[in-house]
Amino acid sequence: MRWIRKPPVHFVVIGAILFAIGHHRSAPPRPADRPTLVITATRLAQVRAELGAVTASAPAPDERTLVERAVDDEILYREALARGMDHKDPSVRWRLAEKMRFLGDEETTATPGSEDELYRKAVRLGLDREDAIVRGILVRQMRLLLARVAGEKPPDDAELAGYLERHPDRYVEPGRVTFWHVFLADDRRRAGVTRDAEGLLARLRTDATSPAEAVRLGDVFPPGTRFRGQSAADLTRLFGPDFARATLALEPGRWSGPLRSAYGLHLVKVEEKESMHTPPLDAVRSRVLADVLENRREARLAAALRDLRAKYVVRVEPPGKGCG
Amino acid sequence: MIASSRLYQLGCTAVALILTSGSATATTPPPPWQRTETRADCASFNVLRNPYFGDTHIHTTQSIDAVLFNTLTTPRQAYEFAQGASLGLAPFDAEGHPAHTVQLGRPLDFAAVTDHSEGFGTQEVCFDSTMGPYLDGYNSAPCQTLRQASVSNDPSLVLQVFLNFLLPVVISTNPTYNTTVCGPGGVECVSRQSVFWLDHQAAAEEHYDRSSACTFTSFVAYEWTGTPSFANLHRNVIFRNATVPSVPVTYIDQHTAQGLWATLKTLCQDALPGCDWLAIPHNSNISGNGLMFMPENADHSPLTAADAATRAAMEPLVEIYQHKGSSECRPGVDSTDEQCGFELLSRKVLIGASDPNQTFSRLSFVRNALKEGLLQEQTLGVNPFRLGIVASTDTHNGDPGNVREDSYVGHTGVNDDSPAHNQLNLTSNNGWNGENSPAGLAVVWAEENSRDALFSAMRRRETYGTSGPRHVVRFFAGKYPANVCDDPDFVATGYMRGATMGAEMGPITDGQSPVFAVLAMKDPGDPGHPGTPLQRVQIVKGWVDANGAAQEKVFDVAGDANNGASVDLATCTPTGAGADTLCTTWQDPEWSDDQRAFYYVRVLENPTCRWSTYVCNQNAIDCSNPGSVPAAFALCCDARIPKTIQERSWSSPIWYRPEALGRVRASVKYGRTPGTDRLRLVTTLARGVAHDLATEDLDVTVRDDDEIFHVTIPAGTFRNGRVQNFGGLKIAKFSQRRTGPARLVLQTLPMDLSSADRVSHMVEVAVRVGPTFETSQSRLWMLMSNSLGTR
Repeated sequence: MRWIRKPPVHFVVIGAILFAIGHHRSAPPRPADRPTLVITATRLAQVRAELGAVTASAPAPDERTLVERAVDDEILYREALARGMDHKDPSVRWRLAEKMRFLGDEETTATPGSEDELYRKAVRLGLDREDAIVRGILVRQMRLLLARVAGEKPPDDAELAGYLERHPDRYVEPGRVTFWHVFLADDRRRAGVTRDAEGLLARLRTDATSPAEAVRLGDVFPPGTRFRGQSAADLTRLFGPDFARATLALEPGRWSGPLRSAYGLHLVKVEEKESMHTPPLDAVRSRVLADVLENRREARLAAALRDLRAKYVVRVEPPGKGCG
Repeated sequence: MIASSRLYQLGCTAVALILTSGSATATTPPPPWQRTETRADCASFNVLRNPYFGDTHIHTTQSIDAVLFNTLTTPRQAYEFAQGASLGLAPFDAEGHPAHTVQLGRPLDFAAVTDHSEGFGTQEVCFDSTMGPYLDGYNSAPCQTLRQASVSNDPSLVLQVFLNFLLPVVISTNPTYNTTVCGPGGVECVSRQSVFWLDHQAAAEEHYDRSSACTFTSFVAYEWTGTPSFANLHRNVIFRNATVPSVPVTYIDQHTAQGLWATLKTLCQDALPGCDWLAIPHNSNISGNGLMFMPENADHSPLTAADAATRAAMEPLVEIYQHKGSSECRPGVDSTDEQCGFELLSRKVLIGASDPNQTFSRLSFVRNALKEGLLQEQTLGVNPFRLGIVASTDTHNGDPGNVREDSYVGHTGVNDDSPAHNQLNLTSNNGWNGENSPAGLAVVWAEENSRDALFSAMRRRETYGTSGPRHVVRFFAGKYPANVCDDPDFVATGYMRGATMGAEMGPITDGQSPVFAVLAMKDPGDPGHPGTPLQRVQIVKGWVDANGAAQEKVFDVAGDANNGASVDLATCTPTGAGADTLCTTWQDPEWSDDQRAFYYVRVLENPTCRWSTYVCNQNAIDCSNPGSVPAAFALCCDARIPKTIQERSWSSPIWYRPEALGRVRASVKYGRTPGTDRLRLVTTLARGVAHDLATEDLDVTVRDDDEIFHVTIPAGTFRNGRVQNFGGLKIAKFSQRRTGPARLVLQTLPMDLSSADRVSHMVEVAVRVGPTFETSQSRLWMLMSNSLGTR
């Protein structure tokens, strides 16, 4: 395998870029005491591809985002190794043993099935350091580990309400109507459909027919006679855009129409109408809770990364000077 | 007659009022399923269900047979297209401009990207050069060929890719990864398949609307691509929510459907709380000698009742129509129905000789499988092929729901995007393109547009398929008055007193056919593109006759086959009238209480132009002057391909199963104080079950979104047909007369049944005897003062 025989990698270090070391609790060691963490151009290209695969619909990440991500991944990887996570994870062990087996080393193939031995040999050869899969597994696990905390206190109502207030756009509800409709079918009433509709509308507006009785005076409409919480998109789906616009503009509490759909005419009585609004906490509690917890996890991870980063001197290699 | 009809009307008015007061005030009806994920309730929740239109079969650039033909659409772009975004399709010019731009006239409600899982790792190795030391696979000759093929349209490269990646993998009976690419044992590709799988999950998550607007639902899904010796056994696996196994179970992992189901169960239901899935087989029409619905296990052993029950549970649906033709039925293959001639393929396997005159196998067609299911049930007591119906696209362009005849862009990339690329070919090495067609949609009757609601509806088979148009189709069977079509509020009664599509009906003993009610509505059409009127509604019946043979018959039940409607072939303008809505009730004139049967609805539109007619017209092909017809357009003047089609919908069947529950009468009486509610339930059960109760447990569950009541009465507990003071029951009585079904009565002690919400809603009663016999009945239970029950 030629990659094993590759010459040692020579980095051209062009200078230290210090990252936001901002708010860490203990004073950082002086630069001279800190290990150097080098981000190669090759590594940056890899991160660019990885990010591209996961966030294809977002705009391409800028250089700074890429560098940040590469530094984070490298720190997480080193931290995982420092904690011995590579020795504990069965998928890492399995992978390295398999890899060693595939290398076709005669000594090891002579004793197949000894996964432990294969694994130890792989580590001795440094196969774990170069393995993108192992690296990916460890970085993912480290992210989860740093984001977690034992015995987390759930957010109280004040915190949830505060979050909802700061992010109303995430929970906004579109305008909606709940309504009954009496359907008069074109192909059942032909030319008489308009006359029938107007006659029926006049009657419904003057007598005391309940909506449930009124809908029985029309024709059968397979989707139903009463629709709850319909937004413009919902209405457009079954009745078409003109009907949707007109129905959302109706005054609640009285029979209106006739409104036209592809099937005929409809007399509509809006029962309830809601305009676009941010709902109260109780209506969206579970989603806000999930979002707040996710937010906390992100914040915890960011803080842990900040602390870890303070232990290193970070250098970024310029493009075009990568390893051969 | 008049008196009873009035009585009925009064009853219905009361029903409507209760439904209103229930939902307008504080209590919202609960759904008949559990919410398994964190999301908002949908504002448009409808206890009587809405039709949702979607596509459960979509390939993107993450399928080898799509990228091979230059498809670049990502899973995310496919979901965006489904929601109304425009999309550029291959071929792309040197500047990357697409040759075709497509966009839906109306967005879909849901979609599931189902790429071929067998290629996930391979494609990751071949297309991702960033994986440091693993460039051996990337640099291998097969990967180089695949990359070249993905940016060209060269048959010799296509052949090489086929030989490298498809023949030894999905088409082999002993599938393996390509070791040149994937390394010994395929380990590189195995470990890297998770990259695509995670990407599928992320794409689905990003496009799932978890807000109360419920505008769009995505599903995490993939395709299991078993094609042993070219016989198509493909299944789409659809997961209920975001809790899914860390890897897809591929054909390389499991070579049989049984292996797929068992392994998925181990990795999903048994391992991950909240994980659930179902599989949808497709293209039985090209499964060779009817391999898809062979009533045997993969090792050719006969099905046991347990095997049949597993299959029915794991595969509640079948895809009846898609790009690669209709699988409903075929004239001359146990069928004389002339409407079976719709969009047929002339080949028996995925890739093979096209010849309409060869012998096609009975079990390659869904209707025959439904009949075979009845025969199996006759001997096993369980129907392995209790198949509900959907249709979808199987697009390999990543353009789900793009099903209009006038804008067909082919099945997979540059293989058939235009006449210049063999789109109209019937004879070339690609052979079948002219027989492909723009495919259809899956329609699901669900309370709201969420994953739990849609998945549960798929599981109970309350679905139908369309060949493209967005028809609305309701179908009920029960003891209904004959005038339901004069009752605009019929749907509530429908759910109260009978079975709907996908469900089973229990024993009938008075010799009277149930009333089948069909309500069908035409597609309103895309903006500026009105839908086509309906021509007629048919009911397709399959049954087992007195001699134990399976039979079928098609009944025209509404509309008019001779309505004179037609289409001008030169302009594709329809002529003549049809119906906007068709509603009818029908009783089976050949009904027999003893014969197990299924009934499904087929709705037919007036004739319209087939896609190929549009393409020929757009290119001004003149068949009266054969010399002027370019070779690529020969199909335009080939009598083998019809000029017109009748678009249609196929409902899931309603099954008549004499062993199922008959009319269930049940009610929960709420006590004055907590803990003093009572349930009473009376139902019929199959003959013969009494004997079993001596040796098998009886299990009864009543549930909505919660379990309301559950009891297991162990084998041998009944004494003289009675059990007293057991498991919360005051009494259970079981009685059987010499003929007819047995009768089961349950009555609980005063207990807490408050999980039965005090509002009219759907409640299911499920009965299980022993390990394999199970049946259930779901009805709209009504709230009347202090009790909730059947009406």
